[in-house]
Amino acid sequence: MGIGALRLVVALLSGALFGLGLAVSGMADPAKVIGFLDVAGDWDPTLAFVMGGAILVAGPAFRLIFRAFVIAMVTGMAIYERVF
Amino acid sequence: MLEEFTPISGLVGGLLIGLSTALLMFLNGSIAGISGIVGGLVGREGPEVGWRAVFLAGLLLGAFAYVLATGEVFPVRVGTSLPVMVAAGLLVGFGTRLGSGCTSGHGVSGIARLSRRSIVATLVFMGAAVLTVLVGGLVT
Repeated sequence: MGIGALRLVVALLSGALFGLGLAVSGMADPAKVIGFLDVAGDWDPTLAFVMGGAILVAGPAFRLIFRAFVIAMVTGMAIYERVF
Repeated sequence: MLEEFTPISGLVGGLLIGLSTALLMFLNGSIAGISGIVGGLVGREGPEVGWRAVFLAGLLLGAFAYVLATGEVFPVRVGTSLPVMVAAGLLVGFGTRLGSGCTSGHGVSGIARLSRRSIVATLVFMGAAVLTVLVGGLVT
């Protein structure tokens, strides 16, 4: 499978997880979203939990990814300098 | 208040969205920002349109899979007329492109990166939305 096709598979999988997350969280229902925005009325804090949950995963994941990227860059540069 | 509050399913759904975001960044180096992905369908070409279209197809499939798996069709409650929906949609589309992001692009990916720009964007559009609901409630 080529890189291009692999990227599409990842996009499909990621999209499916996202859609599933939206459905599970209840955010596919506009009324749930309005409930969060309706601070003066019947307030529903659920959206905060959804965003919180997402950031809880994405936060550390991003840090790991960017750190791995930097390590790969530095390692690559070190090898380059040694070889050339 | 709190009759509608569903913290557990909200959190679990959020974790799934976070996982989706992490996966797309780690393997594809792309931001899972829905407004950016939809916007990119028109503004870009070739593979850049391809992965975006596939992602959105996946999104619909994922939600559909939930319905199949649970056997329940979740409610989609809209309280406004069609013309208002169209107007609101245009505002959302225009605003998210002008602001370079939305709840997922800025609110999740941006905040996860501790981007000051994204934090500001999220506070502003959330604030504006809260204000709109507040004023709307007073007017109607």
